[in-house]
Amino acid sequence: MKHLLAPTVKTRRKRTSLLSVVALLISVVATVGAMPARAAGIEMTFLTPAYLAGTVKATERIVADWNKANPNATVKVVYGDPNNINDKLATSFAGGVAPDIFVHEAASLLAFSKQGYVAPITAEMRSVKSSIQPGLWRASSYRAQLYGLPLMTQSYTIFANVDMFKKAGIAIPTGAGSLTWDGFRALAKQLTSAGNYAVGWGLKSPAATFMIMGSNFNGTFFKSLTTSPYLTIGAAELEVPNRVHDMIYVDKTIDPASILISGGANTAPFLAGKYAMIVGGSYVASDLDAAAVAKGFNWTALPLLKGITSNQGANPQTISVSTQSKYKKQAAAFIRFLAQDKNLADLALGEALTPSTRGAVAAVLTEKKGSAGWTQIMNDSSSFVLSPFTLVPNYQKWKDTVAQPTWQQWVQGKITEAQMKDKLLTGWKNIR
Amino acid sequence: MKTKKIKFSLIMTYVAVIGYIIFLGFPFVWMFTTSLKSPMELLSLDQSLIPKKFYWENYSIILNKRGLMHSALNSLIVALVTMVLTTIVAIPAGYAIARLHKIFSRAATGWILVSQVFPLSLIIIPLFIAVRDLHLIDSIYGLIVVYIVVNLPFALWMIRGYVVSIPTDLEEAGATDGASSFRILRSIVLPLLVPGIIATSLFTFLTSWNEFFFALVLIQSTDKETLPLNLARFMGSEGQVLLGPLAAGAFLATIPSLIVFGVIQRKLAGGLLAGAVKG
Amino acid sequence: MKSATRLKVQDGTIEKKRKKSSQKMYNRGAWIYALPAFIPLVLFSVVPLAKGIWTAFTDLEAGLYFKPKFIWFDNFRRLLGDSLFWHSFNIGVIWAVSCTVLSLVLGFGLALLLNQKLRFLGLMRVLSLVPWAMPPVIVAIMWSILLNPAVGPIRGIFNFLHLPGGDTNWLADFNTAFPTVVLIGAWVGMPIITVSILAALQGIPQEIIEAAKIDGASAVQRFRYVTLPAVRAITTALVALNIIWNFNSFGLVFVLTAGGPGGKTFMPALFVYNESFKYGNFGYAAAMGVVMMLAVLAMLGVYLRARGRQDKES
Repeated sequence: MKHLLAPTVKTRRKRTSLLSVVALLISVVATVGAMPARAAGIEMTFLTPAYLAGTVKATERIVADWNKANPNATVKVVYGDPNNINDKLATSFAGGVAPDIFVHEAASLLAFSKQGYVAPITAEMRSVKSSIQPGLWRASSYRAQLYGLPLMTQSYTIFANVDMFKKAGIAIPTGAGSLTWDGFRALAKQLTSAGNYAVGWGLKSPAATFMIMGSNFNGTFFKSLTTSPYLTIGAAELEVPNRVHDMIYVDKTIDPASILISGGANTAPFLAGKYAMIVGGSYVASDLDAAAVAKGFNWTALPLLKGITSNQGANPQTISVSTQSKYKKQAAAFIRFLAQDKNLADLALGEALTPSTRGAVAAVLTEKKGSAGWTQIMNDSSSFVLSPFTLVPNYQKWKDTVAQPTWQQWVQGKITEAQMKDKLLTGWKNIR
Repeated sequence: MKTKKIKFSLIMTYVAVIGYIIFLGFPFVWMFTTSLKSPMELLSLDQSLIPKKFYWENYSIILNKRGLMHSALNSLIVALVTMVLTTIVAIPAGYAIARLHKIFSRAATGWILVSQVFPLSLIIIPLFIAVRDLHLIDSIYGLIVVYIVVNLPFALWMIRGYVVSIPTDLEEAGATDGASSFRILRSIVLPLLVPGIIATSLFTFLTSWNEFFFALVLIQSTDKETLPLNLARFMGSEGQVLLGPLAAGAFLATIPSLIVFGVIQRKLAGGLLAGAVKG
Repeated sequence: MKSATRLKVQDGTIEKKRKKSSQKMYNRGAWIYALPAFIPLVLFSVVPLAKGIWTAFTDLEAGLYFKPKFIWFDNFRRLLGDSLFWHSFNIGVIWAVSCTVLSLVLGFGLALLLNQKLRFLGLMRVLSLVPWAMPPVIVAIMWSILLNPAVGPIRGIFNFLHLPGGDTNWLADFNTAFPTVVLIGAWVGMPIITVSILAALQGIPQEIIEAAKIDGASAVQRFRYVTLPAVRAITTALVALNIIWNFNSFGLVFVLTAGGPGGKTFMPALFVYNESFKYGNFGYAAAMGVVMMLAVLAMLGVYLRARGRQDKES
């Protein structure tokens, strides 16, 4: 045991450093545990997945304004990773340390609402209700209670290369409802030439696209929402998948290489003049804007596609209050503040999405007066309707494990229509 | 005849060397040159390896981005402290597992494997609650504690493996001379373990430097986030124009690990020499 | 050759002697050595894990007011009929094994090269660490850029060399997606194997190799009788751990393919992850976890037993 009593200098130093770290750990535990609550006023945490420079800047500005006006109920912003916001919320809820206020998306919010982690804010948001699209309001509700105020929404938009249209001598359709699915197919045929596809369409994750655009043909996918929802695949639901399939394999107007990648990844070939049109989320407009400024790229957005209607299912970004929050009243007040037209317009401009209130849409239109594309996207804002799937609790699971793989096989031409239908329906039955 | 054979095998060796250099290096080099391309070049088709024009703004964008350097510092502290503590704790324990009673050794190795096998997503919530009860949520110290636990099984398992591969005759001799087990460990086993310890601590450092998921759920405030959190947030879900700054950030994030490795690599060669002299 | 055999014999006698005479000496103080490592492990690993396993026998779901019931084996019974899970389970097994084998072969080869006196050694040493030095988030993004069918350089290289398949979308094509993610997985897994095996190689005393050379052992014989025994233990450890890690990993593959195309790369760990985090079915997800754990343990049991038998024979 002698060596233990007479350690070398080296080991002693090691041991002291180990001890000091342990001591440090203990002291940190002690201080955190004994930290007094802030004497005056409260502080609320606000979790947001904002990451684009414009949205972050707008968020900072809005929070600073709020904190100046409300020094007794300040807000602290916590930025979450947009790809992992759901995990972060799930853990925080289960661990009892949820943020007071958080931004999420309607379809994923539903699960948390059902589980009781989200506070209903129907009464608190009554004053805002009249200025919001009814479809968006309903998409963010569960059992007649509003659980998240819809902030902004993405539409599936066709972007056009204006110069390529001009060169081909084809007029660009304008005006709501002026572009039907048949019209789109004809346009694509006109703009396709030997070896050159007219359309790039990223369908790496086709489920959301098919279900949201399904509203064009009144495809609902789910019935009896209030009791026990079940899946139905009829002619209406098959319209969009079939038409896309035809454009790939019959007309050969959609580039088969483009369907295998995510929506945003077709931006590069589009800017390089490979496609006359790409279909993607309206957020693509922010990339196009940058290109327009930098090298004079001439783009616009076409009117939303029309089948029977030009409606699109809405899955808006939402802002909610957690049940575990001690400051629900102040949190709701902050949400009302954030939803003011100017604030909402600033946030939406950063992400190139359509804001939920009519006033904010008007504000964006004034800001982007010169851009035909933006004007078109904002003018489409009245087309958002409730997509039944946002209200089906098992939708997420069915989408991940059944719909996504099945439709990937479908767009890659691996299965027949009957097989697709069968896989979708059997898959639904296997899911509890 | 013989020289021809040697020549041929030498050629094959260098073919393998070049193959490895391309396989390992090309993606990295491509990422580096991507970090020097302008947003417009990144949006064009058929990109070349060498940027048309060197666009250093990507680096100033990422470096001026609020919090990047701060999060790098957080990551460095977390990774270094985790590395040191894990190694200090793992050496005696790994030795104990390798050389001690069979039953104890079996139970310990069995447990090490079991703890690795259980899917992470299932222990995350119980773990989260355990950390919360110690008031270590949203704290760098909480993250260090968790990282030590995450790294320990691997560290123990590796050290055990290296100890097992050391012939026992030296320890035998030491024991016959009446040295205590601590002395045997310190002056006989430890010098022979140096390359293994270095490999293990390198692993611990890198795992902590790169770790994402625990940091995601345990850290709440922006000023405490680690580098992978910061970069992931920047990456977002869409948007090609951010690619340049992102590549720049990724390149910068890789540098500290390479420096740590460079320093350790010299030690690794030194450890080899020490082992040769004594062994 | 002779000296290598001699060393073996020596090893064997020592082994026997140790078991008899010095067990006591080694055991003294065992607990003290192991304690600092085992206290945190029990607190933050054993306890959460035990809780997790217990959950598998309950109907626990996410919910603010949810009161779980103990339901014995109901979750497991339901899991037996869950064809989607078993489909994904098979993918996981194939992925874990092929990824481990490939990275072992590549990593072992690299370690052997790095242990020689060659040109470009410094460069290779640094490069060998690159995949490991990069945060996995970045690795996934980088490879999807490289493999991008529209702007990626891989396509350019294929076209430049006039190789067929330049226009393949490697990560989305039904035939290539899985092999591609295995290759990327091996790229990521290589450095750990290389560094660990290199450390073991460098632990071989130089005079043993010299002695073997003097005794006239060929390169193959030296490899068989000197190199392999020296790295055996560490290789076994690496293979075991890699199988576990790969079976449980999904982050990299998820960013690359999102489980597609058509579920070809839908890892079981992703399945479990979704089940608990996305759908909030903690009990059912835990049952999946337990099944996965048992499966991996069975796989490892077979592997480690085979290795143990080999060790005894040699």
